[in-house]
Amino acid sequence: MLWKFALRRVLAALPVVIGVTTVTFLLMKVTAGNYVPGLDLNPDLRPEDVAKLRHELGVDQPLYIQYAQWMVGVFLRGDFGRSLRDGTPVLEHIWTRLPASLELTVTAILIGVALAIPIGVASALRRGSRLDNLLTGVSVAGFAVPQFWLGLMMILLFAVSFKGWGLPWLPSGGQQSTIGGGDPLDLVVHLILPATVLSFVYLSVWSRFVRSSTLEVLSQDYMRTARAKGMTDRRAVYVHALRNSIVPLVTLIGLELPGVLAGGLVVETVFSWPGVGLLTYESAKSYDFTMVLGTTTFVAMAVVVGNLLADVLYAVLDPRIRYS
Amino acid sequence: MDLAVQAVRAEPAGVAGRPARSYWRESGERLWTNRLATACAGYVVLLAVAALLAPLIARYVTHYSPTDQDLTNLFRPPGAGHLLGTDELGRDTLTRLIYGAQVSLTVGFLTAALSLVVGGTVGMVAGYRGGLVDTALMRLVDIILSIPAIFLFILLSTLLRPNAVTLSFIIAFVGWGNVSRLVRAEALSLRSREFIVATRSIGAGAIRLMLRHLLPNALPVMIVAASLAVGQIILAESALSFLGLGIQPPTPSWGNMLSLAQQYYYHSGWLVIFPGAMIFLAVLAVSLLGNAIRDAFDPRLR
Repeated sequence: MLWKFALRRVLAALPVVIGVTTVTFLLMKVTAGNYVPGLDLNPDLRPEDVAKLRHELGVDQPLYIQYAQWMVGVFLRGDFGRSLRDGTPVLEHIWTRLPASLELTVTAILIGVALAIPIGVASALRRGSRLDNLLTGVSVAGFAVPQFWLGLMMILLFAVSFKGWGLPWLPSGGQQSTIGGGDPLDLVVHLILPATVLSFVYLSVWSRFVRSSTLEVLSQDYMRTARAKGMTDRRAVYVHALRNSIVPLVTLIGLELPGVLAGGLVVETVFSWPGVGLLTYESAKSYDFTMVLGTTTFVAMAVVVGNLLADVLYAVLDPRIRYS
Repeated sequence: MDLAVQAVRAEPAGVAGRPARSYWRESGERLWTNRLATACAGYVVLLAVAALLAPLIARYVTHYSPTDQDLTNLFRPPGAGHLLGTDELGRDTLTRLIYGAQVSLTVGFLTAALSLVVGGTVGMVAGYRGGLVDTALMRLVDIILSIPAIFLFILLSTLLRPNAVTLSFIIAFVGWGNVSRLVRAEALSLRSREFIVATRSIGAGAIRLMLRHLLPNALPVMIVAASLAVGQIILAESALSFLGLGIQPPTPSWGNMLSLAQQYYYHSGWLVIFPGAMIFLAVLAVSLLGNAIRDAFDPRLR
């Protein structure tokens, strides 16, 4: 049953993946056309050299041929094109940068979930209390704060000011120290600020969600039964309510994945975190359109796959789901 | 006929035991009595007025233009003369922040309007038509929404180097998806209601039906969606300008001011604090107002 359900989901996701690959390609062609940066500015290049280089990059072909080459490359050969800067495969760059992005994103999601559940449950249990109101306020603020500003303010406080006050300070950027870095402690210290900033926005969304789904579970009949047979509120929540109220969170995390990855780009830029987001940003700055196209398509595919996993995981976790 | 209409119109007042008021008036009053919402609306209006009168304020109140450089007064901390200090070229921060409001508010509201028009049309057509048209349009929305927004913005704005208007079009290109989903759901549920069936049976065309009968009923949902979106649009605009892919200097925007300030936070922290605080406050006010509008206008919440 489950594998049939999973298979159906995979089949449903395929057109979306193909659509994403087509849409990104067309958008890139609409904005950038066949422009290759630098070629027209280099006085050492003769016109025939330019023509040769353009031919090697494939930008002298008609649009439908380029599109066919792009689709065949992505789906049949795992080839996301070549960088306009140095001609190296885009996918190679992505693989080098991906571990850093995964490290940051996964840590941020874990922090978000680990804090959202207790915060959400606590405000649901004390609904209308001062604590609940405070947490509501913080989550509204979390939704309104620009991530890049939050990042800069954290750097200002924990890196610059703390250093000035002689307190233990945190590094302001990078994945590890340039000199003598790379040991576990060094890596963790570098991860703290960017992961906290990235998790903050989703923390507020997710804790709101846990709060409302806990409130919903609390009014169920089985909760009344649990309390009627003498369980304390707290114990009833931990034994019966928690699992039912956090299962929907899986779907929400899947749905927020585009947001988390988009936020990752901004946070990576602020903290010079060497991930796929920073790669995209640097490539955009140097007009490397094929690189931007490649990373965008790759990240969008990751979102579709992430949603798929969330769907299947949800079905596994919640036995009430009928596979239909 | 006339009598019958009058009787029907008079009836609700008698039944409910209170004066008959329109949906809009009732929702408006509910919004007005929400003190937090009025405060937020006040702040947004204040920002809008400041943005509109920016040239006058620069001339008569702050006495600096946003591009006036003063190389003898670099990195002045907040104080007399320059209320919020000066930046790396000696430009007055307060004046630049006021001009920045022009960009953020223009982009915020223009983008919301554009996504309403596009998303509303697509959603209405998809929901009313159903079938293959619906499937095709909604798959397109799925596709656009599964590409993380900022990557899409970067893809679109790398070569364009946009101004406020082109930036609005770029953000709206991504933003209409959510609106169209909401409007579609609304149109889908309205489609089978008696008054729509009745209108169709007397021969009204599809366009007339959508504009005269579906649109007014879908309007509350659209207004709620738009008012909740403005805050996120302002955030997106400032993020893009911060990355150097949105509004280009010398036009000041809160995002590109932060991007410049980023290099100087070691000695001039206030350059980082003020533009970010402006973004935060504007988004906070707009979002809280959006929440209040949802509470007041959303028919499903009553």
